[in-house]
Amino acid sequence: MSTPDPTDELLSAYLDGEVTTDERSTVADALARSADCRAALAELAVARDAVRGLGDPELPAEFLADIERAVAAGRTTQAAAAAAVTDAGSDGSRPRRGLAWLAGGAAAAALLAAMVIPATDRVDPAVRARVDAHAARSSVSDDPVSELAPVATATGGPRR
Amino acid sequence: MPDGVPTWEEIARDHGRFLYRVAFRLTGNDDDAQDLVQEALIRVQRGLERYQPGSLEGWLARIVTNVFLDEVRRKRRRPTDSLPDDPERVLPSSPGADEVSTVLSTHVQAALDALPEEFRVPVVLCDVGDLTYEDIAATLGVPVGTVRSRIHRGRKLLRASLGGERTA
Repeated sequence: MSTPDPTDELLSAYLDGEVTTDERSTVADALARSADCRAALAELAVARDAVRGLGDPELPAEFLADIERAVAAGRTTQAAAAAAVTDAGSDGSRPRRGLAWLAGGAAAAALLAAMVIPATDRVDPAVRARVDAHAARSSVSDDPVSELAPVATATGGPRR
Repeated sequence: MPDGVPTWEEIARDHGRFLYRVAFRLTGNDDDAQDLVQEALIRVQRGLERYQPGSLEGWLARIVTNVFLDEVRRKRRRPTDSLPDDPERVLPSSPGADEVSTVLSTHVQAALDALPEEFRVPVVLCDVGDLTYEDIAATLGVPVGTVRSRIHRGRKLLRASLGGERTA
């Protein structure tokens, strides 16, 4: 069984510029004298560059449509949402995965709308008010998302 | 809002895609990435008052990573909550012959997905989130030396998975 090269674990950090001056010298020396060390560095660089080269995943078009629907649903069920938040039980259930629960969490929906609609002034006053309302609820709740679960059931179906 | 602290809408508009990118690389699929972004944005809204101006994307990456890790822990505690396997999620659709970059991305993402979380998370935070080792250490609550080791081992595993010869 071969003894691990003490510089081995420094190689990734070296690639990332996350080494001290002394460590940089150590790695530089090892690279200068060892073909194995150079090969190991090259292998690590391939892995690093592969991940860095992945680029941006495209935000799915249906995500945008779902967000718009969630915002719209939130507007039409504002009173119901407020009542549901007030009356929410504490059964510990997790909200359904997916965008529908955002209909009851219009603050997040408004955020997402802002995220995917890169305009500078597209959040109307009603949404702003709902953001504030959600913030107020969040400030007194440990888990406002779960509390909104009943609203999700009432306001939307599965994302797909 | 104090100087230097962006509004919630500004974060969503200007950094939402960053959140989605990190979330997608952590989860490997769109559905979970969307869920992560939603929950992360809610936590951003709840935590914005406590945000200290600095590395905003570092802060956001920390939030989305915490959401991801919370979800991983939740699934471990309650494995029956896991969604049933959906072949369409596990097996990406076959790209056309001319979509080389898509094929490569799919291959790399699959290799990333195959990494244990303890390696995948620091690798993604480093190479997708562009966080420093110190920020990653703070995010994960581990020493910087552990981050260094995990990134190194993660990259070795990745390289092997991508067709490299080194796994030790």
